[in-house]
Amino acid sequence: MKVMVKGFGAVRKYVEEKGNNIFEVDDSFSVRDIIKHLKINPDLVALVTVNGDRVSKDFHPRDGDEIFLLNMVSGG
Amino acid sequence: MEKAIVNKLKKSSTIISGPDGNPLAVLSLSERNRLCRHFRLSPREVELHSLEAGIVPLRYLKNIGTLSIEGQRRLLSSKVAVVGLGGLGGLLVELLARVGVGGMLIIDGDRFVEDNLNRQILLQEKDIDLIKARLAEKRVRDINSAIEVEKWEGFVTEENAQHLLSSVNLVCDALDNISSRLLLQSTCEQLNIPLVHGAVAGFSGQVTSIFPGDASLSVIYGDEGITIQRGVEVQEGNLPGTVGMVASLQAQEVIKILSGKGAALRKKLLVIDTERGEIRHINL
Repeated sequence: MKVMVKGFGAVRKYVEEKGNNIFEVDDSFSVRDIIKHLKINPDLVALVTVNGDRVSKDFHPRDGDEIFLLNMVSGG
Repeated sequence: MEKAIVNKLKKSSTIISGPDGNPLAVLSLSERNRLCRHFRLSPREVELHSLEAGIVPLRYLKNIGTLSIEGQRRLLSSKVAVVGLGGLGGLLVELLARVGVGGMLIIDGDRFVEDNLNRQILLQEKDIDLIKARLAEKRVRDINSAIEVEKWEGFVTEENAQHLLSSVNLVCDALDNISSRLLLQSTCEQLNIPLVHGAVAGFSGQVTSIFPGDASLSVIYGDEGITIQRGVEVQEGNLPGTVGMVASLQAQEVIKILSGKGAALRKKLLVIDTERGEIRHINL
């Protein structure tokens, strides 16, 4: 399946360094698998939305979904 | 006594054209100070009497069009804890003192270090090594003598959190590590008070307001099996503009919750990425 991945904040560069933000991944992949596939440290991803709805990293997206990865921030 | 104060307040006030174009009675700082001496009341007490009588302390005039006299009275009678006096907390203290949050408990066990200079508004070069809470307390007193400020030169711990925060109406999370943030959340839950969260890293930041029962930080950070204490700020650092933006948004949340105006960011995480100029809400 093809999914669109958008990284927010510091996660964006890990997505964009792959060339574009459309990725062909295995149909069985969860969001967690996709994060791993993109070689992003999962600890850097706080929240995930798929098509605007918040989901867990174990959610299985479908073809054409837009996955949004929010960076983990805790600075003060 | 009450009637005497109101009469004196009326005599001491000046009538100006208010924000809506109607006549408005205002009380200058010098007149307020005179009344404090006359009635042996604190500046906060005189200002509260003044607002209750519909007379606006002149220092709050530019708040009134937005907040109303009643909203200002609510702010002035509230007490807020600012936990963490670094980038976020330093500016929060400044903004809350200026807008007139009448009681403040400021908490931090750290001293200023040189790499705080890029973003921590309380710090000047001459003050490196000074205790953050002491400088913050002085700043509040210098800005607004009506604010009753208490400081705790230490950290919030599981042992002291409940006792330390038991007297406040709201807590601001201006901390820099995840476990302390979660401790604040559970303490506010037990004390049945709201918590205004802010966090930053590099170009991005986030803000939300958490009410008892929401447990929003557990959604954001996860409350079980946390393996990390910090986020991408370890690599990205903290830019002053990001810190200023997030602290300002936190101050707006505090003002809305305490004054009853507007709608707080409840169960919504406002995330901002200034590198691309993007703003989003994520439902929590």
